[in-house]
Amino acid sequence: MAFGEEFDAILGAAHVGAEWAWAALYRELAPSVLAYLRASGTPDPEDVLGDAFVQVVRGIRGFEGGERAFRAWIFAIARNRVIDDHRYRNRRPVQPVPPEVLRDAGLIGDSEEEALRALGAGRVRAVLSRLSPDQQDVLLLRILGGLTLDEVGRALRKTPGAVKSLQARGLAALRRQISGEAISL
Amino acid sequence: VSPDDVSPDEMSRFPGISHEDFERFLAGRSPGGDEALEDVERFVRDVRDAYPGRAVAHAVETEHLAAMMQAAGPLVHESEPVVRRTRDGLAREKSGWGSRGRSRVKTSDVKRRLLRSPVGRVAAVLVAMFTIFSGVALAGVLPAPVQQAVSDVAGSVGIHVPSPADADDVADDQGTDEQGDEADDPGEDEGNDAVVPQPGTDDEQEADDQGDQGDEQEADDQGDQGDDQGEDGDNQGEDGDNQGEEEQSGSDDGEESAHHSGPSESGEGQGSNNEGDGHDGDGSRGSDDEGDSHEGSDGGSGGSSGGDQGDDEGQGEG
Repeated sequence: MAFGEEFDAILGAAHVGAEWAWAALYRELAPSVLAYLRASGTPDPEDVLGDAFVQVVRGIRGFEGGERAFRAWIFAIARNRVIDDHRYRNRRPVQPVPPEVLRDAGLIGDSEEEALRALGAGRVRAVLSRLSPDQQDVLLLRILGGLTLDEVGRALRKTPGAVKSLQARGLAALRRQISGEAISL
Repeated sequence: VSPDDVSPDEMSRFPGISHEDFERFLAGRSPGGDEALEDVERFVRDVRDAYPGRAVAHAVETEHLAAMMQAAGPLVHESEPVVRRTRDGLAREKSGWGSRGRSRVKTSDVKRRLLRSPVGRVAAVLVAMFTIFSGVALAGVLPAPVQQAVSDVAGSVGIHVPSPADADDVADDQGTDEQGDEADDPGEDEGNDAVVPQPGTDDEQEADDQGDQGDEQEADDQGDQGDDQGEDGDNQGEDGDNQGEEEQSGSDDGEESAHHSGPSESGEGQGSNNEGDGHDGDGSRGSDDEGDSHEGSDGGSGGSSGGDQGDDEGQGEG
């Protein structure tokens, strides 16, 4: 987080609907939230990201806390939106978006780096899919979200002890998969 | 069962990673020569490489910020207390339209907003007053001057609203009804007292004879008015004969009445008075008119008819 002492002023401006403040918060937090959403396997992470930030705007009056708490709060909202999105997609058929639309929107590229990244993402998803949903959330929020155990606990509405246990079990399962099942990363 | 110095993963082939080690990985530090942990450290690195925290595409960012600012509309307006009190509803409406989740404004919200504003309240009161006033005016129970004015105004736009003059005419004609109602009994009484023959009595023949005369006289007179009146005239003629003797011009409406009470109703006098007078004669209604302008007469059925009413009907039907 790069705001530091400026965070309170930015948050105060965001409370009264200042566009510059919301833009600053979005640019600071959206990349990591989007990375978390992608790693979670959300089919349309950008859409969920937008919904999450709109929800943040609507609920800003109920937020109290500092910069770290704000970050944890946004990830909690993003996770809830992921769950809602999964439920929504389970109820309705999927309508795939044409590749040219994604390319025009800058959502996909055709470079070698993108291809390798997609390959790496596929491998990571393969490993994570063996973990329980809670273990996945803990590891992703810690690795991509940069949250502490306490912050992950607030985001997942679990105690720090429970989060620590989920993390330990998840890492152990991870090691078993990597070494025992010879999944190459 | 295991002693304290034994790892909780003692039965596992791949023991877990301590919290401190994992924190080191997250901080980007190497495992410190422990090759057993390198796979986990590599996994953390691969996750970050596969899902880098890149800036969101500009188009997506613009769309998201626009949606966020729409959602932030209430925040802007609520931060201005003066504006909020007067324009709160409008502000919420603007923020609601076009947003992702809500593209509709509920009808109940619109009503609430309208009734909340002073103009809306005044308009609601005016509409209610207009509705009540219109109903009263159509019923014709307004004070005469007001009713006349309303009738004139409504008539200018093609809406018929009864005026006091109409009410007077109706009263005159139906003088009929109102007075006739009151006079029903007296009429009957008078009719009974009078010389008028009762239907189905010995006077029938006389009535028939007179009715024939009535037919000739009144049917001719009324023939110009129309078939209905002519028919009525026939019957009334029959009736009227009797009443004619009694100098009754009572007339009444209706073929029905004429048929029912035909034998005893008036005719001659009516025939000479008016077309309408001549025609008709319902026994029961005849008594109405008797109350109005006749000395009660009427056929044995107790009915005589009012000439005025007969006029009206004659005009209407003719």
